Amino acid sequence: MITLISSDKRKFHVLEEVANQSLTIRDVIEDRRGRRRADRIILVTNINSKIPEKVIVYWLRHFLMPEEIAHASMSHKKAEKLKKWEAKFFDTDIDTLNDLILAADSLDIPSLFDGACEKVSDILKNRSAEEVGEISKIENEFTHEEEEEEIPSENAWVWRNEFA
Amino acid sequence: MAPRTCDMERVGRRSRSDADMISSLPDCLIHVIMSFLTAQEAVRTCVLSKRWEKLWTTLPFLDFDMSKFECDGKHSGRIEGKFERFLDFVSMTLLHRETSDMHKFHVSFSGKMHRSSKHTMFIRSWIVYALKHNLQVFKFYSDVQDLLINSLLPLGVFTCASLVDVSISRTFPPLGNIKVINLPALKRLYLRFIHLDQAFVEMLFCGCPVLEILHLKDCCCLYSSINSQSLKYLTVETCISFLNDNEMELYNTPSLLSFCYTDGYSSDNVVYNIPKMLLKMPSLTCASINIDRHIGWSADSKNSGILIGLSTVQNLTLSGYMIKDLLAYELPNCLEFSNLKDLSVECLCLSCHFNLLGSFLNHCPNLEKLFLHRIGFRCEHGEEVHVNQEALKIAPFKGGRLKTVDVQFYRCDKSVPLVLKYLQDTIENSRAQIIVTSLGHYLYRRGKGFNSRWARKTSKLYSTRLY
Repeated sequence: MITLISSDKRKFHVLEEVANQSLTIRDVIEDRRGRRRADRIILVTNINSKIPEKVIVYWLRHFLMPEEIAHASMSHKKAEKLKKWEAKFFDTDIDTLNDLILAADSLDIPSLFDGACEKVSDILKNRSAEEVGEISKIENEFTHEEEEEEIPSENAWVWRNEFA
Repeated sequence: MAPRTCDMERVGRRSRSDADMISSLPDCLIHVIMSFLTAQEAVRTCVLSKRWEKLWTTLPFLDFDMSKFECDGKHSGRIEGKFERFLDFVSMTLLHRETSDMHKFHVSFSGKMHRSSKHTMFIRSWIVYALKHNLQVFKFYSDVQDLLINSLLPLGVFTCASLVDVSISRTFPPLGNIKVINLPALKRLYLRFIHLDQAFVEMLFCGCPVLEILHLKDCCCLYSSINSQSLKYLTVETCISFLNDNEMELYNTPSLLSFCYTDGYSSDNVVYNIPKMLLKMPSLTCASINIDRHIGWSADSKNSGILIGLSTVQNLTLSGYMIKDLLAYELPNCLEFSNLKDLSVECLCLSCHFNLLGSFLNHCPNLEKLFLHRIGFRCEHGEEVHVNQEALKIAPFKGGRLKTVDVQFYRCDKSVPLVLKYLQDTIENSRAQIIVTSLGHYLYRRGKGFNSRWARKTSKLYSTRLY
């Protein structure tokens, strides 16, 4: 059993096999193998408590579906179920997704990282610049002239597919 | 994936409600987010803000997909015009890039189009450009059979030291031209619509010492053996084998963990035999066999050798209409599946072939989970109650470790209650729990096949505990 402590001092107890899905944690455990129980506590200082909850839920779901089984049953119902579950899991607000990306990056959980990034990328798909700005709060600090003149002439090939 | 450093404390302290969280991520993370966009969408993010203006020029993941390519202007309606625009767009994007690494490069063409040697030259030079920029993931799909594009790939693709993941469909240099394959880092290879002969396959496994995942789809298999020490996941999907009846496909893969096989058919309705196989996979743990099409078995012996080679698996899925033949012909020659814990059988009609299931269960002494899905699916007897009395006379199954039996059937199959009763009698273990689920009606009489959306609407899930 491993204890994770978040930045707001909440404790999370996780089975070692489950937490091993994070390559960072796996390396830390590997480093401390053979030492005492106190060393099985890992501080995750840069993450608030809401995110470990989500990450652990994700771990538990994926722990039930090892890679070999996932590969062999591509057409299988289990794989479809997992996909549906993931779609629901990532259906949250953009701030949580951002935190998940950062957490997955620092804990090194490739599948969680990719899933969260894909969800964020959906925001950028098929939307105008204004719409994206509204949803993701990306500030548009271009001046009026830049917006009217410079960008269109510089990037004409991106927009109109015309090559002057 | 190496962890990237970033200052999360700084991000955390800002007021959350109106902060631009995405832009505050480091460039490398935004690049990963952009990697899920097509190249066109990624390039268009340049108008979002000053932060985003130059972000795409160092983007190491570029996905050029012609089917998702939007073009407006006077040629938009015509496919030739679109093709020209697409070529121009890719060339312009590559020219405007900074000289940074390119980890992923995907190109896919779709639709009928007129290609000339000029186009071929362009496309070749993109690939050469990508190969020079530390390319790791390369995908190249072409939708149409085209002689020009068939000889398109530069041979450098087969000697690139940085490539990790390669997917190629319908395009290939002529096999005779490949003199050497040297891909020291290649882990995953996906090939579709490609003729594979023995010389090429041998060269491939010699040249790729760490290849772990191999996926062959719709390929013409002219090889007679696959020998690989490194391969862990192998998928052979709807491939056609052109071996003679007396020849055998040998799979000698000592580290293979997972094996998927789906039988093949050709578009011209020619019936092909399942090749005879000799599987040497001592560390195999998961296997999935789907034999669905009405294809013939080798005339002299109806033994493909698949089932015998799977005796070490822990997790086995058998599905498809022809599974009954596989079980009937090959089971008598099989050893015990002593490791098998999780068995799924799909599309086997239990009212006709209950004995096959029974004798298979008696080959699996350590079974823990049994999943029977779509029993009665597409069997000859249709909706009539028909139970083959001969088939029900089987030896009882003493699986002491069996915990759950999950049965899913279509409601029109009236023989199910009787079959369930026999199942109950056969499984002597009183601790096993049987879960029965109805999937609704199966449209057998209309000849439409299974209409999944309709069935989902009408299906009523009910589970009963029989014990």
